[in-house]
Amino acid sequence: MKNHTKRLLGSKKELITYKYPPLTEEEVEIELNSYDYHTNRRELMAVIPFDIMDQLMVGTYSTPPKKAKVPPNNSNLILEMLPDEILWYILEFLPIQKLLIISLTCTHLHDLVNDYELWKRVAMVHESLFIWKTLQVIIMPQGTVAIAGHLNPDIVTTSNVEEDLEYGTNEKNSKMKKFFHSSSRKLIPSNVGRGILGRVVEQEDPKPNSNKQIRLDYIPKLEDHREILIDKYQSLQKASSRRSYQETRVIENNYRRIRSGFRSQTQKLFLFALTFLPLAIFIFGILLNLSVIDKINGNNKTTKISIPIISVIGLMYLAILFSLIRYRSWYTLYKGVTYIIIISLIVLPLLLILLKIEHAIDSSWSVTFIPIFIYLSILTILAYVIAFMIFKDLDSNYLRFLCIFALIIISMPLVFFICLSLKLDNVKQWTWAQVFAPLFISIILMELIGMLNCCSEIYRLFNVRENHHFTLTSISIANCLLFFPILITTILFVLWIQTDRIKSFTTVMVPFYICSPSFFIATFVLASMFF
Amino acid sequence: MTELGKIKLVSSDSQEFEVDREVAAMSQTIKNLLEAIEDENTAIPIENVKGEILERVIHYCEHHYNHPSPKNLTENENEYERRTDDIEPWDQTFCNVEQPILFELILAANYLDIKPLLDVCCKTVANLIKECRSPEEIRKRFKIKNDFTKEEEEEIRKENAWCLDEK
Repeated sequence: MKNHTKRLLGSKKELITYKYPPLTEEEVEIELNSYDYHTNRRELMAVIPFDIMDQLMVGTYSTPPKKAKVPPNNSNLILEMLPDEILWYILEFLPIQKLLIISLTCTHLHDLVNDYELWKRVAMVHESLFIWKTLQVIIMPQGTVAIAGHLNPDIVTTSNVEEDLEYGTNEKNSKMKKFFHSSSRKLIPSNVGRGILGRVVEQEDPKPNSNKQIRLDYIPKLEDHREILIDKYQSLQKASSRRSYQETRVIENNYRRIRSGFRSQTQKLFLFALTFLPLAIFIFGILLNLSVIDKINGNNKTTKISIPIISVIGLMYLAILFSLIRYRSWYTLYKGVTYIIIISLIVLPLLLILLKIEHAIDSSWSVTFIPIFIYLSILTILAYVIAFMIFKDLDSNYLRFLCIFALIIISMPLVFFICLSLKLDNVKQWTWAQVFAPLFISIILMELIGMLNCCSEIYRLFNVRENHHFTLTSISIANCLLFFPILITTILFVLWIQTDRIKSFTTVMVPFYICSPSFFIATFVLASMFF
Repeated sequence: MTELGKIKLVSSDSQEFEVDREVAAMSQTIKNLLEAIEDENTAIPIENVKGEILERVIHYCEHHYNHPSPKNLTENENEYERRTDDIEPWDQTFCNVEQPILFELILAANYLDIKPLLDVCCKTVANLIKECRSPEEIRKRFKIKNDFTKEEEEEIRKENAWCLDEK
């Protein structure tokens, strides 16, 4: 430190004599000796114009080269003394968490980290990532969505996508935020309400010593980071000058509580219901198999077959209703309704198809498929809109390539169902292989993406020292493995229905029987760690 | 008199270095300067950089002039976090120096406008920060003085409590 101060003082001496003209040698000496770099930095900043300050920081910037008396390798530059631009540049390499930690070290770095521009940049990068992740999740088939949803139900909802798109454009978003803020304020006026919600939040906070939880809910964590990040971003945006610190804090906390209130309870129930979904699908598969090979007699086949799935869905509805009753706010309502609509859109087609097979309804196949058409076209349009918005921001060719892939994949199921309804209604005399072609393309492409993703995740797991989590890798591996059985099952199904090569429907279901148990066992294991 | 294709650089403590013109042109600042001056034999004063640091910078430039690195390394900026783990082994050993020297290198790279060097050094610093898990560790490692008042620290700590709880 000493040596460096000397070196800095060399230039400072000149500045001081320059800045305050009538100073005697002694006064300058006193001034210099009392100079403490850390505490005086701000005062210095106030007195000295910025550019000169920066020059001072760089050391001998403005002074003529001197015959150095300081030994060359004895400079004592410390991190803090680097110019702000360079510190910024370094900060941009750091994850949010470390940014916040570094902001706790000293006032200078705190001010630097809390700079609005930096957060804006971080937020923008995160935005594109999040939208991309959402797009990735949307293109996955229902089973995968369920698994992704298992870790973070929020990620599946379309509302989230809209919300996130708006984070980029500020005005709309701040309106929305104001709305939430005001509603949350009204909701927690008394200490009683605060106490209840506070406790909920406390329960949700993962304790540092319970490793299980930390690892498991990585994705919700990411969400939290984002939330806090966005809170922060907005509070900074709101008040570019000094804001009323306390007030902002209260607003932010309330907002966060409302969100986590919805999460904690609904998420738990929702996850509880989701845990049984793979098991329900497994049982559904067995029942379907039995009914196809005529082992179950009686008139009400469909009712029996769909019991497991219907009951799980019922549980999910219950979870949403519970949260609607418990947390009466617009935000909950908005979320809850979105959930209900999405779940219904998945269940409705299934029920209709089963009823149609039973000849309980007489409409043509294309009418039966209407809910599916609606659902798929919403997804497709949404995906195209998102892709359109993010495409110009995708920097690398790899991402552009993935984006186009994703669009192809997501349009294929719609094409498939249109073909299927035409075929079943005898409008077109296609072979089954032709009908299933779009589905094959879609699955194979998905498998490719899954493998690419899987490789990169595994690569990162071994090469990135931190900030990488095992959960993400395992999800990508699961995604990757998921498509093989689906592909094989579809091929076998086509062979069974079209040719005589495969006699029994049980053969078709073999890959399903092999994979499904591992899925529901995995979900149970995950769930037992979570609850 | 300098050799053909070579130029002379003078550091702040008047040490002289003879460098290939092409190598020196890796620094944008020097490149611009070279375009501006006509007399090839003038020694270029690098006033902000000490001899020891300049020597290291020249060493870096020479190595990378002879072993050009693939271009795509720094291009991938759309990652949600800029990567800090893609430092080449040679650069890693190059940056494995005491902190003051590393910071001097950063300043020199910034002044001389040598982007790859700046990147590599900043990444090294970022990695050093990443290894720390608490503010105290960072303070200790970078010799930062805690200049918060007690109340301020308390408040900021509360504000950021969530990030300290994690591993």
